[in-house]
Formats: sequence, C-alpha cells, structure tokens
Amino acid sequence: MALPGAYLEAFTAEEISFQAEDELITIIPRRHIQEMQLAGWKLPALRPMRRTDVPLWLALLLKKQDRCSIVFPNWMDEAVLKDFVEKERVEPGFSSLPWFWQPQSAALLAGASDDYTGNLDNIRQLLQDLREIRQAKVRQGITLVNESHMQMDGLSLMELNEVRPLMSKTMATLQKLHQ
Amino acid sequence: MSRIRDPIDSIIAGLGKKPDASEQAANRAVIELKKAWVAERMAPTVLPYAGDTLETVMSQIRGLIEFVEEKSLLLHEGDITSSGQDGENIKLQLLVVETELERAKFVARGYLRARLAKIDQSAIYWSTQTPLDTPLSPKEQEYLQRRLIIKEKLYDSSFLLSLHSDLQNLNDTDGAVSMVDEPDLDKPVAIKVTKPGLDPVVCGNDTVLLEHGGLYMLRYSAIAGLPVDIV
Amino acid sequence: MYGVLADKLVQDARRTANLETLPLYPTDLVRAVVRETQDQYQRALAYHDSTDGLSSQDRVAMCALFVAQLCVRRNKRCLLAHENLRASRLDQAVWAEQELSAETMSNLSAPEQVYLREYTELVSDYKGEWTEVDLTGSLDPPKEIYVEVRVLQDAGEVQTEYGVFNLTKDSQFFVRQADVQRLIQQGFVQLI
Repeated sequence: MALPGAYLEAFTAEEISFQAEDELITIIPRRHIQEMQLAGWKLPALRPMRRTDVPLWLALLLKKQDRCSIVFPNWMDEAVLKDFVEKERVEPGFSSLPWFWQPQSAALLAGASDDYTGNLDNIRQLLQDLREIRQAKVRQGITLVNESHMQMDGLSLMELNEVRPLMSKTMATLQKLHQ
Repeated sequence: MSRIRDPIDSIIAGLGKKPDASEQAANRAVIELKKAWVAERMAPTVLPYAGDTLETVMSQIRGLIEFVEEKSLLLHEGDITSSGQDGENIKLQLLVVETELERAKFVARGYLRARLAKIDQSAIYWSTQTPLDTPLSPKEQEYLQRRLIIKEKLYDSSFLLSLHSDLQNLNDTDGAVSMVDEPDLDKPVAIKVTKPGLDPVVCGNDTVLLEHGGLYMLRYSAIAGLPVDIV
Repeated sequence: MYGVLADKLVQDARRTANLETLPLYPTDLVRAVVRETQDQYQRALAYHDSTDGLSSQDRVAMCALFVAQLCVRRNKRCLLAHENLRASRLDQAVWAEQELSAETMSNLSAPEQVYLREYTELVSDYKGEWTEVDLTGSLDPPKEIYVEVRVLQDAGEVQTEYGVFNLTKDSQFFVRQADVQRLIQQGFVQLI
C-alpha cells in the first residue's frame, strides 16, 4: 500500500501540528521585510511595529530569525484559561477551546515564550489541567457511544484523533451486533 | 534574541491597520487541498478527484521552485556574500519561500498517496467502476490497471496457474466471503458541520440533526456527498 | 486432516507480519497446499458427478461435496492472503525507497522478485508524473528547512539540487538541512 495502514485510521501528532501551523496569528514585525510572493498569496511588506496576521508557521519562522514578536491569542491569557478550567470542571460538555488548542499553545510556548506577558508556569499548569479534565470526560463519553452516531462538540482535533481509532472500532462492532 | 518587550511597541502597533494578507492566506488553493487531503485520509472510499485544486497548487509549486532556483544561484555564485545585507534578505526569502514550498509539496504528496493507498486496498473493486462512476483520475486509472496486471501475474506464477482453471479467478464473489474487497462505506468518520441549514440525516435507526458548528462521529454513508468537512 | 497445511500458511503469514524483514518464502508448504487443493477439487468434481441426477437422498455424498468445496475455497484464500501479505511488505519497501538486503532478496520467490521489480517500475513511472512533489518523499511534515552549518573537516565538493558547495574546514554555510543530513551524521559538518 502507498501508505502504512495506520495512516488511514488517524493522523500522527506531527500531522496535526502541521495543520495547526496554517492558523493565523498576529505578529509585530521588528524589522522591515520585503513583500514576498508565496503559494497563491502575497505576504505584504512587513513594517516594524505594524501588526499583521500571518500563518503560525511563518510567525514562528520570523520569530526564530528575530524578525518579529508574536502576540499570544486571547484564549491563552491566564485569566481566560482559568475561566476555561472552571467551566470545564462544572459543565458536562467540552468548553469551546480552539480546534488546535494543544499544538498551537505548544508551538507558541516552545518558540515564543519570551513574548508571553503573563506567568509561564501558571499557564502551563492551566493547560495541563484542561487537558486532564477533558481527557477524563472523553473517557466517560466513550461509554455513551452508540452504533449510529456520537456528537462531540467542543472536542479539539488532537483529542478527537486520540480516541478516533477506538471509537471507530467500537461503533463498527456495535453496528455489526445490531445487524 | 531580544527578551525585552517594549510596552510602547504594542501601543503603537495597535494604531496600525492590518493588511489584508490574512484573508488571502486563508482562502488559497493549498488550504483547499489540505482539506481534501484530510478528508481523503479519513474517508473510507476514494473521494471525487480535486483535480483543479491540485493543478493550481502544482503550478504554484512550480513557481516557487523557479524562485528558489534563481535565488539559490545568486547566493551560491558568490556575487552576494551570505552575510551582507542583500545576502540576509535573500536568505530570509529563501527560508520563507522554501518552507511554504515544502508545506505545499507535503500536502500534495499526502493527498495523492492517501488516494493510492485506498486504490491499492480495493484494487479489484475500483477496476470494476465505469469511467462515469469512477472518482479516479486518468493517471490513477492507469496506475490501477498496471498494478492489477503485475499483482495478478504474481498470484498466477506463485500458485494460481497450478490450480484447476476453475479456481484461477481473483474476483470470486460467490461463497461465504467475497474476495473483492470493497470500501466499507459504513465506517465511522468524524465531521464538522460548517454550513447552516443542512437536512437531518438517517443513521441506522436514528435521525441525526446536523447542527451548524457541530462535531459528529457517524457512518460515512450517512454524510457521503454532503457539504460537511471530514476531519 | 484437511486444512492443516493451509493453517500453517496462515501462521507463517502471522509470523511474517511481526518480523522486521521478510522470511524465506515457504516453497514446499505452498506447493503442498496447492497439491491438497487440487486433490480436493478433483474429489469435489467426482462427488459432483456421482450426485448428478441423484435426489438429495444421497446426503453423505452431498455433504462430502460440500466439505471438499469449502476446503478448496479456504485453501485458495489462505494462499492468496499469504502472498498478499508478503507483497504488501514489498510495496512498503518500494514506497519507502528501501533497498532490500541481499539476504532478504534471496528470501523472495522468483515471482516475488519479478513483482518487486515491476512494482518499483510502476511507482517510479507514477512518481514521474508528479516530479515536483517527490511522491516517495517523507511522510513526516516538513520542519526546519534551512540550517546554518560549520564545516568540521574538509569534505570536498558536495552536489545539491541547487548548486555545488566546496566544504573547506571552518567555513560556514546556510544550507538545506536535507542536503547535509548525511554529512552531519558523518561528522563533517555541525549545526550552528
């Protein structure tokens, strides 16, 4: 087969990070950068201090070259994350974190932590809390799977991808039993 | 690396307007192809061929390759030292453009290989589809034909030809188990409903409302052809 | 007992699935399964002839016919599954552009060697339709493409896709990581 079999069941974690890198994020350029023609779009000339939205991969690349700083998304503010954790604890559903919240926060904390204005240890802990609370919910949720469908609003792609093979197998088995 | 963040930076920056690059960046063929790649990877069957999108991306890829070749020559012929101002600029351009290039190549490669993997999986089944029904591109059909021939040759010379002529078929469908592997259209897939106003779908004994913004896992056959995102 | 040989074939396939490289092609076993299948088929034909025209009273013969047919069908499936598994391992190697060792090559049957050659050709032709994309390229998403390296020892000229480098000791280059991956492993150059 042209792909290893597992590739047709789920994505690899790296592939999900890759997908997340197309999400737009705001940067503050440090130096002038010429306009560039890219695949089907033009990166406009970047001027120092002028905020611009660019794909995450580009933001991280420019950051590495010390050409910009990155503006962390609102949801990564400590106060906002705290709210999320609180809600996640009390509400039965999944709070509506971004589709790519894990790879996005991981990439930003790895590549641009000096641009974060709050306390890094605190948000790392909050992100970890979120992950754990949500994982527990996912595990509970699997017991509710029926053979026809399952609604999982608010789950992120990474979380979905982790349980996808198991859920898919469970649903298929239930389908067979039902027939 | 500078670790000091000038608070004035952000104040001034807030005054500036955002260029419209973001919209451009979000609505381009590579992003479309990435969606097609994702759907192709998770759908149990080969989806309609995204030929136009792929062609657009391919021509963009060729454009980027040309750019990279030109600039690399400049950098390596020694006219421009890689440490000078021009050299720095070219280096940065190369970095950005080649990263974009590799990303586009990765998506195109992943898309084409996911399709081939599924064609391989149910080769005999795909060969029975009429030209009107097949989602395969002409190149994929050619690949499939050749693949079937060499695989058949392998079975033939390994043992099939030593069996009675009645037993030499590869497409027995009688008996308890069909030998023709078909895509399992009831395989569950995850979908995101990105459009409002979709009709409910029937899924086994249940009717499922496809709420705008909802994330569902359900059998592929229930949503085949609907404008939802397979994720 | 019928089917025992085919079971061995299935076991061989199961073992193969867990091995790093393909084990020796079980020529004798395959031949034996083929022989048994042929025998059973002849027997089935004979039963078929003898039950022809008889009413279903002759249940013993009918039953024997049925069993023989099942046995034939099962053997054929086992033969196909076994070969299919080995072929898919060869496919994997072709897509990963992995050169098989002389030992593994000698473990292949003659038809498998032909198959490997022909499938390699097919993939290479299909790849040729998409040269820009490098279809057999990495399945891992791209990471850092360019790196700055320092040359640790003279390595002579290095040909890359976009030009030639002369690697003299202590010089620095801004190069594509893919072009120098091997030199890094060999210790000729170092990432800065």
